[in-house]
Amino acid sequence: MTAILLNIPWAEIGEATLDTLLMLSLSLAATVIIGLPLGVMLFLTGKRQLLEQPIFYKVTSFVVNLLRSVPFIILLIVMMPLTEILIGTSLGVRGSIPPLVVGAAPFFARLVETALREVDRGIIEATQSMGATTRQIVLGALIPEALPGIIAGVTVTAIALVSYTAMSGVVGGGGLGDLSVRYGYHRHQNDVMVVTVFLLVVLVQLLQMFGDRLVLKFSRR
Amino acid sequence: MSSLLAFHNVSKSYRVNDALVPALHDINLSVSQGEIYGVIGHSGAGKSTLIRLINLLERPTSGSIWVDGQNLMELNDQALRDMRRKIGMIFQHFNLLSSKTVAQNIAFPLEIAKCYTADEIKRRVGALMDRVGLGDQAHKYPAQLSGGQKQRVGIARALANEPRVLLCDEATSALDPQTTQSVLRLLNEINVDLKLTIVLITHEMNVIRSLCDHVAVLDGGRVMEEGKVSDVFLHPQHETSRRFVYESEAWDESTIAAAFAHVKGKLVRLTFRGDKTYEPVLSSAMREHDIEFYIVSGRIDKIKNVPYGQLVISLNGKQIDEALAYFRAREIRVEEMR
Repeated sequence: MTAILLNIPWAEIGEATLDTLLMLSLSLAATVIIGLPLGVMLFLTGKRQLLEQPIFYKVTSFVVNLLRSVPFIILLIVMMPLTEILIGTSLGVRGSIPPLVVGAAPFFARLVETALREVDRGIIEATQSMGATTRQIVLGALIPEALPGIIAGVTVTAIALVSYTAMSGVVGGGGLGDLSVRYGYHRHQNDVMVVTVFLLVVLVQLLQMFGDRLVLKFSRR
Repeated sequence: MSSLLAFHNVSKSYRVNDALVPALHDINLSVSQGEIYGVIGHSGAGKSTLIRLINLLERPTSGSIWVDGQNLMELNDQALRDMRRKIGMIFQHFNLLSSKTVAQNIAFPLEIAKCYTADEIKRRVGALMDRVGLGDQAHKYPAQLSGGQKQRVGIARALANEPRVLLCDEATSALDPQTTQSVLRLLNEINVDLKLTIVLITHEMNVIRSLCDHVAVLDGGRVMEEGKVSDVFLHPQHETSRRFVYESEAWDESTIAAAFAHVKGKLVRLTFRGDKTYEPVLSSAMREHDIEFYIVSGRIDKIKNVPYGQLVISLNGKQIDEALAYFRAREIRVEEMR
């Protein structure tokens, strides 16, 4: 047992874990910052909504669908030149952030749109009847009412991002996925693979547990 | 009394798949300051559209709507928002924010108005909660309240910005009869204490009878009949109004005629109003004229606070016409049924 464990490059695993966590938190933050307003815009410009804009909605919706339908591994490769322009490198943790965000933000925006649609129309009507501006309706009523749904969306997105970060290792992004491919696949070191997969499983479990707790905390129905 | 709210030739159609579906035709209404105005109609009659026109949650296709001397059609966005603050609204399904506590829900319109300090908001919210009898529920969430309590929160919230008029969209339709009565009492109190004009829509004649001063009967998007509740209720002119009255009374002319086919004598319906209800007119008529009567069916009740009686009697004897003249001379409405 000890002999097996000694074979494992613990320092590298520690570093890769940190890289994964870093990629996850940075890309999740950027995804929420971009995806939340995008989701709100999708919702508001949709059919029979406050700022109904059929053309804007259709175009945005199409772009969102397009980005969601591109397999992430393809997106990674296609994005490389753009990433280099944006932050100077397409490698490492920094280089992996743009494709992660481009892959996850449209997905998250859809989840936000769906969560907002779940809010009873009567709530919007009541808030309108108080003389609220669209901004006050969104910030004061819609988002607080949809918060449990939005948090659930963040959780789902975070978990999707964990698997994306694993893939981004393939193109030099680093992290646990990268380690598992290099040691587990190329060098047939199954023990390293098992440890990295175990760590990823633990990470996903923790994210889900934390997300569920938050949803529960904000659910008042 | 001056008119606080008026509809001038208002029509509304909805566009459904490139076809215009009419919802309201040429509505003309006038609501006086301080009164409770009811609109009754079956579902699909257009009453829900009608009440949403008053704060422009729906826009009319043609015509104009006036509130407090202003033509809503001419208001820009900001002016419309200011106007909406002066028009409170409560809803059938309450539409409270589930993420906010009772106190936060009531504070919400005050925060939106942006013209109160945090202290003022706190004070007003406290006063409003006392007003609707929810003083001890400040920190509960709507999910923890009963239907009646939720509607009380809705009422407090609607009153927060000191509106000129309160719109009630089927406010008691989701409540049980007992709770309905307590909410109606509260609305009546508010009308009396604050002299607040109330416009309500409902499909229940009971709500109209116990609360309203004026009523409009809506059917197929048109106002069929309009007038004082006592007039419309006791002497409905239009078929739709009659149906509503009979539904609430559980009888109508045809059932009476059938049920009392075997009753001898002249069938007459007498309608008393106000203090006449409690005068011994029938027995004095019997003393002074050669008649006998018996009551076939009847009801003595109140419309808002005015007592009324409506009796169907069978008259026998030699001086029936004299007796009828005697009733008419005492301002009792007489309808000869058979």
